[in-house]
Amino acid sequence: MEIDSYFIYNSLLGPKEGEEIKKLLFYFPKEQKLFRKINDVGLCEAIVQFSNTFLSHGHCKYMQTNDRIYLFHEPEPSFWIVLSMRKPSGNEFGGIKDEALLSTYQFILEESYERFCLWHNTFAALLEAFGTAILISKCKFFFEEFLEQFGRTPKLEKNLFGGFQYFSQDKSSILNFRSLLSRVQETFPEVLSVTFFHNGQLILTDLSDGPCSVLSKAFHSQLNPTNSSRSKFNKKKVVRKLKYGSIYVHLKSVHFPALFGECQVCIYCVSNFTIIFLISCGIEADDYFSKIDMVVGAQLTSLVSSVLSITESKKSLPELNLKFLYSNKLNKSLVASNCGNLNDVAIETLTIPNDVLQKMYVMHEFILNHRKHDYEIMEKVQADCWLSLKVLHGKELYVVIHHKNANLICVNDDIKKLSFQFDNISFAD
Amino acid sequence: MTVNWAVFSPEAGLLLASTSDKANMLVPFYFNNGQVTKLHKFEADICKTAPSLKLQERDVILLKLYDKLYAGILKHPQPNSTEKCLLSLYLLLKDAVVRKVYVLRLGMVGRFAFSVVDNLVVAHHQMSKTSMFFDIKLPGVSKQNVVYLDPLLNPLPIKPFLLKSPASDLTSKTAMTNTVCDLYCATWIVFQPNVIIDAVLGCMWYLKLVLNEMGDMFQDQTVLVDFLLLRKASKSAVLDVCKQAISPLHKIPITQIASIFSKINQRYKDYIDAELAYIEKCETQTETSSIPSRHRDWVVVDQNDLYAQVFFPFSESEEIKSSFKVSVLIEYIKSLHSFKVDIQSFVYELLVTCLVKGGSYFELQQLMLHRVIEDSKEVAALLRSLEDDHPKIDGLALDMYKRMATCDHQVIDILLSKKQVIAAIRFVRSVGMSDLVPARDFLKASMHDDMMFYNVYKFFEARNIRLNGKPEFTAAEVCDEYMLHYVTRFVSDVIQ
Repeated sequence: MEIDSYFIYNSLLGPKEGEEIKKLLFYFPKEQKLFRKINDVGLCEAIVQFSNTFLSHGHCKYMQTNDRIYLFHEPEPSFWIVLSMRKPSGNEFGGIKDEALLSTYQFILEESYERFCLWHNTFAALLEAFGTAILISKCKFFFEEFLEQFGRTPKLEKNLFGGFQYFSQDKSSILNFRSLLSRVQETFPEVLSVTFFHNGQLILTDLSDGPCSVLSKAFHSQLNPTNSSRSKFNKKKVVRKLKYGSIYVHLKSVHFPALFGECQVCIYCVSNFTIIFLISCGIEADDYFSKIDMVVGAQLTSLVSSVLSITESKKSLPELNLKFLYSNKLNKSLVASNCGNLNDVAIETLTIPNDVLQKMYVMHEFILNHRKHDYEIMEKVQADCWLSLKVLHGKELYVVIHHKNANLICVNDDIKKLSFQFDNISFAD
Repeated sequence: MTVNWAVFSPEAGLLLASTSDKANMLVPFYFNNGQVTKLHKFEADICKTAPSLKLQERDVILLKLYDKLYAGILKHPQPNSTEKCLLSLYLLLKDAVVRKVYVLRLGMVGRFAFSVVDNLVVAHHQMSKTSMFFDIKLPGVSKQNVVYLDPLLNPLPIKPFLLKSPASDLTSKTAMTNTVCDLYCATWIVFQPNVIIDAVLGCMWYLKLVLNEMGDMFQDQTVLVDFLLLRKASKSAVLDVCKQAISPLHKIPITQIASIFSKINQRYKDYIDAELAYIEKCETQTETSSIPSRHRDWVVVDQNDLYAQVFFPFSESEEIKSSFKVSVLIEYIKSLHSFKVDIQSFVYELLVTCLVKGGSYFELQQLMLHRVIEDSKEVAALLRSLEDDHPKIDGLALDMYKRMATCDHQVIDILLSKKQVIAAIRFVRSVGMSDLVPARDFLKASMHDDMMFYNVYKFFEARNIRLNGKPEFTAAEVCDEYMLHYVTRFVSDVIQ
């Protein structure tokens, strides 16, 4: 599957006939003929409106034609983002598989908008403040670069399950982090939120899960000190060296429309700890960060040794010939096998074959759509590969077992061994 | 031996006799059970450069502080120097060399009188008409094994006393006159430990501490807590300090709040350890009266006290930001945890309530994930009661009950209330309770869905066959209604 086009329009702009082009805010690829661009917008508008007749709530999610699939996303009232994918010729594209794959691409739509909002604010706010011309230029600036990252054929491996890898710590060190957070809140009233990471794994945050996830995705490469930079936004370099730590991102303006409005991000590192500060606008004083460094850096430096000793003494998971992925919808935790230094794209490191991965997505989508609380499935996906899924009240455990001549019983035994590892809750009901 | 003069403490049965030319060679005698023991003599440190100065009887006092006896020697400075008076405390032990352990820096010169109230040394200075107090258990500066202490507060006068006496004219029997007593007057005589007599007025007073009024006099709240914990019956004053510390009016830094908690909990922990040791000793010994139980007189502020008097009203206050409430509770939990004290579930309950009220659902999830909030039936029950109004915490109670492994009935209850009957049956089977649970509840919860009802019914039918040898429910199980439902929904269909 290949991205055919990606465009954004507002159905309220250019209401008169002949002014349809005014609706269009962004179109990729830009070389496309004007006629085709207008046609696409018109088609999508019509489909959405037509399908609304049959829907009591929500809107049409996608449309499939012989050679293309259109995915619709309305992030703000009347603002539509559409992604059209070209189907590979001769590919059988039917049945339940479609929906699962489509949701993968839906992810591109949602993430692109999420990221745009973070850097530039909502479409409506921009339109109101600066007018159409600026909105169009901001869209062009952002989305062209964003789509370039994905390439024409987006990979499947993106983390669909959401959630965070937590840095597991004992009670007293979490209490120390929470206490440090209180101190920062008290000493620096301009700091809106503090999020602690260790090697890309979340320790603690006072943000809610949504914004925390947006931030950790956007600043993904800064969070993991050993990670090399991939995205254009995330060039990892030290901006300023302080007494204890260093600043990697210095007061970059971001938007959380519903939460703080416009604010600034500062990313600060001490050893393997990374802290994302959200700071209200207007802080420029040079010594501000030196003060933060004195409070946070000194404290963190003293925490480093205790944290490391705990990490070393932590028990590892049992050696089993399997790969797993555990996702807890409640606390957004995500655990994967061979997690050493994992970041949010855990699945990439799982080295699960693509067709097994696709099956996982199909299962995941099925659970999501059918709101299953308590479910279990085992499937032999390849000659020597079993895929099992257990669902229990918002927790999903996927296990991939490569085991020649394995039967259901021995597969089940292996899974049972694993089932007790997560949240101390047995999956083996 | 030529004795210049002697002082005697009837409390301790100790006589201190002064010998030598400068009167500073002191010999203690201990009187006990009709026997007199001479203890090690010692030389008191007095101003040596002024040859005319002799140690006066009035400059020597015997003080009982924290169950130990001290000889206090007032050392006057050299004439014309800038130095001030010092009170040196010599620890008197029956079988050890007497040595100077504390020096109280009085900061003034002139005549002093001393009292002991609640183990505090109170120094009254006549010229300035003020008093100051010292606590030997509070930290000071240590030099060559001697601890130098400064007064806890700046010198202050004793609270004036209003003497009510019958009016001198006899016209009215009820008429009273109020006389403001002159403080620190020359006619005062001070007796140990805390008696003051005014020879002219003919009055005798006991000097006492009013703890509740001392809170505002201390600048450093942590010193205040230290001070109060060493006093008798000071619990309400300690609780007042905590209340003040976390009230929005008194902007005390969170680090200072943390150190107040740490002081309170240190004492709490010491008490728990002492009590455990006491109980252990009581179990092994038959004669329990000989086991020291002094710790029971300590002022201990436990989790119940703080919860009822401080945290609960604090958590209910609308004026305080919920993030601050969470911070304070976290500091308290952190402090208890650092002393390895078991934390009562109501502390966690309060934390959960504050987090939920403040909408910090994700923070709650994180604290649960890291087990900062420990599992308990009470917390789980609270979470369950909150989850209807706060869907974002839905499922936390169920997980907690499952982890505890002693709450199978609650797990079944939750699953049935959510109409997840199949999940409930799977759970029942996994914990080996298949033969014990009442079928009625399960059938009732599955009535809304025919497919589910059928499956549940069949499960229990199989159980009936296994237990009773026939598929029907017994009368005791009161399942007639569901048997009828089964027949009408499924069996009659087949017949038709």
